[in-house]
Amino acid sequence: MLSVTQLTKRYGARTVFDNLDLTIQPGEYVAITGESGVGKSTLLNLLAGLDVPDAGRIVLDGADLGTQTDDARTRFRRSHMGFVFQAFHVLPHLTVAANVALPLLLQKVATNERLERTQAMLAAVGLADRGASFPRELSGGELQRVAVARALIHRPKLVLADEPTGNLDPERAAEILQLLKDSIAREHAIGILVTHSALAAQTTQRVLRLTRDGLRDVAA
Amino acid sequence: MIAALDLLHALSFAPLRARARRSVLAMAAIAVGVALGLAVNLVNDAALAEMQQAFRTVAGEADVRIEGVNRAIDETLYGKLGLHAQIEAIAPIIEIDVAVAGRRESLKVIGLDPFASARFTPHLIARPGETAADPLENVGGNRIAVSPAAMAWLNTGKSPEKQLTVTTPRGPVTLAIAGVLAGIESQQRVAVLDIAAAQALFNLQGQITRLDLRLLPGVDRTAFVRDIAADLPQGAHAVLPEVREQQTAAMSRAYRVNLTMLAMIALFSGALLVFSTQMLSVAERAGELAFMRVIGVTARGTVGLMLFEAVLLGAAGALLGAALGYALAWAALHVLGGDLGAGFFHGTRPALAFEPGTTALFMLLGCGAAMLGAWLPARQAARAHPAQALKTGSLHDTTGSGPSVLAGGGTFVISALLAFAPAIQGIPVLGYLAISGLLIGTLLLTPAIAAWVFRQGARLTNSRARADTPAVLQLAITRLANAPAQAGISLAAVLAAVSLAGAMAIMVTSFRHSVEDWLEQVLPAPAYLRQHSGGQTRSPGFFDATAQAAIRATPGVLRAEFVRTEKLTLNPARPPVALVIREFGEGISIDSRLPLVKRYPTPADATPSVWVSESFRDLYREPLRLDADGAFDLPLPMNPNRVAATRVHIAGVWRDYARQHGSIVMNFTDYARITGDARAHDAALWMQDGINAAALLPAFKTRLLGVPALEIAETADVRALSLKVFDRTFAVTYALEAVAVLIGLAGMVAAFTGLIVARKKEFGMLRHLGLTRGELTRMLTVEGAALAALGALLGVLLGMILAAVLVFVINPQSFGWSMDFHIPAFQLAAFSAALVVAAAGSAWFTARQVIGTQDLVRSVREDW
Repeated sequence: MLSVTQLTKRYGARTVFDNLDLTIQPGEYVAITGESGVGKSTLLNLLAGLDVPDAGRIVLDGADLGTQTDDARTRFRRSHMGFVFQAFHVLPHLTVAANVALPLLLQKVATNERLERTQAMLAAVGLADRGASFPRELSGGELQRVAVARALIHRPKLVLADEPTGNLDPERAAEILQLLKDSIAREHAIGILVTHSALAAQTTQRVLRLTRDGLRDVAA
Repeated sequence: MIAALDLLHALSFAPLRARARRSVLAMAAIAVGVALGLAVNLVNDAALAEMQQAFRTVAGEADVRIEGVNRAIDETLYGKLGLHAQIEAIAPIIEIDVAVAGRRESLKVIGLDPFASARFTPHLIARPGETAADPLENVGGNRIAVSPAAMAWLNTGKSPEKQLTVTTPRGPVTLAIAGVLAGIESQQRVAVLDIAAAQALFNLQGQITRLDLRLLPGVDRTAFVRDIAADLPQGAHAVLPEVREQQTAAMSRAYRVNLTMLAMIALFSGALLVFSTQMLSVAERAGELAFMRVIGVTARGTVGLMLFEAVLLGAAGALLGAALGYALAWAALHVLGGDLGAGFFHGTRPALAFEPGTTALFMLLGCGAAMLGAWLPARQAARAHPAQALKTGSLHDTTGSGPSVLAGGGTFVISALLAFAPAIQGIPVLGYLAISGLLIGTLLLTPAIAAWVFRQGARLTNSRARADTPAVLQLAITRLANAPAQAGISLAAVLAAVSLAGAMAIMVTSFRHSVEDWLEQVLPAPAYLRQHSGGQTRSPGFFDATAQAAIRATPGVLRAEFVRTEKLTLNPARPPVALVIREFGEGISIDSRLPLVKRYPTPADATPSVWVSESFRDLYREPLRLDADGAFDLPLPMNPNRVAATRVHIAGVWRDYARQHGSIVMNFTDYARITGDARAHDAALWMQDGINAAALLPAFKTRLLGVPALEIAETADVRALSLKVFDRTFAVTYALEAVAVLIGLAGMVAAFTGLIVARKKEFGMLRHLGLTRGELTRMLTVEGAALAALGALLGVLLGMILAAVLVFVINPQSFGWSMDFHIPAFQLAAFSAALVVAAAGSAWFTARQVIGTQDLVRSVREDW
């Protein structure tokens, strides 16, 4: 479970949010929407343990991120979280398979198991025959499939997707959103989708809107 | 106009300012290259100007000079030529370098006839007012007049010196200083006395060293020199004064060219820095450059923009370099002298002068180097697809393989072939071109080599058998394997610096080892007895047969071998060669006395054998037709004052590092038999056990009462002094080498720093995936160390190839001598290791700075 309580974050004199509360159960897929500059990225950073709150707690799977050191949070993120970015951010110098296998490599998973799981994940995202390709040989939709595979291969408890379809056409976007939804459900992970797109938000189970006043449910 | 300036400011100045640290580094590298090249040439120009002025001081306004093949010519020639129909005036001269009591360096003494020389060298004639007495009295008897520089050299106390003591064949003679010759503008140390007095003092009765001729108006000087040859006795020749003057410049030419080439290495490193600066600038400004293409800037315009930036860097560097060059030249002239410690220009004090041509040339070279460095990045920027760049934020594919292997391999092979080409006008132009080409070829091949090497590394670290390989190591090596073009950029500077510095180190070590071995062979005796010569190679006096017997019979002396040295002008257009007449002792093999590099079979007849130096063979191969039958006519000095040609056979070629203009070794017995002259200048001494040579000096002085200014030189001291001079000569080389390495290291650091900054998004993503800051830092440190290690390894390998070109091509072509190849393995290994540590350290430092920032995390987000 992800539990956020009394979360407060300030940048100098500016308060981004104050006393924010949020609870998401495993297997739940939630969309967070909001205007640009309202603090969506800050919230993601805090949830990912990439930034620390000024007050409040973030507890994922029983671990309080706020009490951990940066290195401890990083190792926790390595094993418990997966990320999908708008600009894909796959490493150009690694093959598709190597990109997908990165989280397993960081977790020191044995080579054979790593290769097997990578192949299985590539098959799951429809890229079984592209493992040896380099990112430059893939289309935008395929690159985002690689990113989704990378985000899920280590079976994370929390998947954070930041506008994952922003660089894709509607058809490819729909495919990716469906893939994300199915994958999160299959892994019984917590999914958080940050998006401006109402269509994308509709693919989730719950939609939250972040405003200056805090988070509020807008639709199911 | 203002709009154009605003545009340039926005598009060129601003980007340079934004990357200030790298821009300053590139500019500094160009400045260093320009400064070093300019300084070397300014110092040499100053020294040559001073030498030429000094030459004119002594040579005067003669149209033609008559000189002796050996040291002197018969003075009766003066009277004979005085009647020649085409000669208007003639002046006899004696010119001799003498030792002065209390001074290590010699003084040039000129004996002249004031009446005859007044038309040629008026500045050497004392004028009323310059001395208190009658001008004609100034150089009479044992009185001399000295140049201002000589006076300053002689003055040790507060009051001016009134006299000086010189070494003559008859012993020390004190001469009264009658006055100072204020008309001498050069800084040369010269003393003038009457020619008759000079002949008497230096045992040159009936001899002169030179005749200065003034021809009648309308007489063709070149034709005169050609025609008069038939009228001159054997042993004398006519030569135009400018031929001698040009030899002064030629003397240091090879050394100057070598130093200039070293400076060019620094400039080349600067070009590499500009290359990496602009390459990274292109990478960082991908979006900006693509946007400009979209709004209408043409591909040519993009190239122009990038080149304009390079010119800005180059011009600023060139300007700074020019100022620094003059400062360096001034300092070098004061600290090292006009020959930068090489020993070509003794007795001069050159003054620095503004040289607009040389300055402009090196400033242009600086700008050119910057433009050369920027050319490839500019072309890459212009060729990129703007739409793709706008979408991906990258103008070029980071995983590209870089330049083609064919281009690199072709350049390398053609350059290697160039190394076998002969010198052009005595300068190894093609040899230097070969070195540049080999370097450029290797740089072009570097991405392919890096890709291959790191792919093997990745295969090794990522193999199933090595499941425990740390992830950071796998990531680092895999990235290097798959981004060879970027690896090539980072490697370029360090490879260039290591290879060039390594090549110089190997060449200098080879030379030093060879000089040590050479000294062992040419100075076999533990000590040498000679007369104090004031730094000259030849003693002022002789050991005759009686003296030689006395030396051999001195208690404590086990064995003595005598040596005599003469100067012979075999070709009036060339400086004299040294004729070294040596005793070899009974049962002594020639190989133990001379470092022979080639032996020829001895002819059946009784033709005397000689052993010529490598430079002699190269310089006189054609004029003396040495290849025809290995024999030539050697003009030997006969008593009294004549020269006779003697057919000699070349028995071998030896390595002589002391005489660049050639030398000939002849057996003392042969020389004495042919010339009837068995006198010697030096004695090589072997003492009985437990006897110290220096302790024998009083005994020698007692036994050799007629021989003045005896001194004993311990061979160990001579060897140590020779190596000290060697090290001083190469001190400038070491300094230039160090600068090249520092620039190379700075270039690699700059390139690597730029790449780290350009890879922010990648690091941001890896941080999201769970790589700690420490792990990211370690990953980059591994990358930096691996790149530097490969750069150092390739640099050392290429350095060995370049060193082979330096040792076997450039040195023989420049100086006419060969050397053995020695690799300073420990020095190279330590240097490479230090470089790898420095590179890893700088990567670690930069990584910590970049990775610690929060915008690393933000860099992966598209929306705020």
